[in-house]
Amino acid sequence: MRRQFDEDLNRLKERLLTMAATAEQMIRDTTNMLLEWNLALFEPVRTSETTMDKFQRDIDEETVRLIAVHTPVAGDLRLLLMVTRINAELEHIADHTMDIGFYAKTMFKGPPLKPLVDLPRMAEITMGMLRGSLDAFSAAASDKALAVIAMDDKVDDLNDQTFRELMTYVLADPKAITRALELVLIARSYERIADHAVNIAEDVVYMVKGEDIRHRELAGAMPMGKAPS
Amino acid sequence: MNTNQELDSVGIETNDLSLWYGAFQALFGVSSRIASGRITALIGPSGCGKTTLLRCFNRMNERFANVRVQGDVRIRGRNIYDPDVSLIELRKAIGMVFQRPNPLPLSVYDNVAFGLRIHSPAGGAIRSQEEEAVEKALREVFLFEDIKDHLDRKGTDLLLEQQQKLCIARLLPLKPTVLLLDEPCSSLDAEGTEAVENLLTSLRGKYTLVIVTHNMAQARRISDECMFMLNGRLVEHADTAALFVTPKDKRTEEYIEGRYG
Repeated sequence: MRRQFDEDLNRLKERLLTMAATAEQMIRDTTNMLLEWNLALFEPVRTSETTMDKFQRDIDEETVRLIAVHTPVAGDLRLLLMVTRINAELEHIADHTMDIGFYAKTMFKGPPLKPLVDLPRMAEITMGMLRGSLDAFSAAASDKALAVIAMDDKVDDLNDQTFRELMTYVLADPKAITRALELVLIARSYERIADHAVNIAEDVVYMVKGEDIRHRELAGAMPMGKAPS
Repeated sequence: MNTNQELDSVGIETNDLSLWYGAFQALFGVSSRIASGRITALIGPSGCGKTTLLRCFNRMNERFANVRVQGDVRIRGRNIYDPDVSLIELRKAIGMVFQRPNPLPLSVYDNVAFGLRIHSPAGGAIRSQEEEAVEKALREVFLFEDIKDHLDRKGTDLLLEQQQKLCIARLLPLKPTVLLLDEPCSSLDAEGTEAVENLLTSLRGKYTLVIVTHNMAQARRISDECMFMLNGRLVEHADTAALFVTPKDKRTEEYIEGRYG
């Protein structure tokens, strides 16, 4: 019985990791589309969105089945609970890439406002965070998860920097406002994706150590990240 | 020195308790504080020492030859292994229930009155007081309504589940503070188990209950705290919910996840 359960758990973990790899590819394709200024490159992301929805349903269904059949406790219980949470985070990440495609469609109607410098950096760090959080999940390593959480400040800083820079464009030329706004929203989407990677990392810490590190300020500890700007 | 408040909150305390059956050491330096008025489950694989530990709480192990005990067991601050402790008084205060119900081959009424009679001074209790105590005990174990018209039936003729309830009922007139239960549901079917579990839950708060169980689901359902034992050692003692979600010790985790034993 235990062996069967272990096999089922491993299969479920693998499926979640495949889902995460799909999400990462969606971010990569989205970023590529932006850099190439070519909406046609967004097509694979659209296809993947359907795959992600299916992943989410299948993984949740299998998790519920395993809970019902095996009445897990301790590490098994924490793993299964976190699988459903991480599953939802990944689905949100996919939604954000779809949002970026939507903003790009409007933005691409005009010429580029500026060369994209900070955005690819944000995208790179964000993908690294997502990969890192899933590596932490796969290796059940809370130190790796904490390293991901520490990366979030960088993304927040780049987001703030992008916002300030774009405001100078808008002040200089009010006609640039639409394109600037789309870029602000795109940067904001990357920043949200990074936040979901942080959530996954926090879930991994709970899974490994049974310690809930979300909203640490509630426990009187130091707040985890910077306050939202 | 314990304060009174601590004495009230600790039902049973063991300090560095070790026990040997001849040359075989069954308990290794067990130190624990079992909360008063709560249900504490002793869990662990077969032969881990949980029944031995339970039997230390009423000095039941002394019935076996070659048993040697070191360390102490304190109940309300008093070491029950002190030489001047009366075994009769001790076992009045600490009731025990076993795997198989073991009512006496007497009527239901006499089963419950038995303890009262042998522990009463010569002459015994007045009949009306005795009847009152018997009814109260049978009510407390939810048995009175079912068998009030058959109190003269032999205890051994009842359903197994009723017999087990009767075995708990017969302890109550002696006003124990601690009830020790050694796998009290292992000979019962699902329905009987549920009935006894409901009974134990209703006794929470009135008595300190310590239950040995092999059934993890039962430990999760009814206990407030769990003590996990392995190879004669107490590995982990925590609130049940915490122990089953976030055990601190790898060995506890492996055992409750079914990876051990």
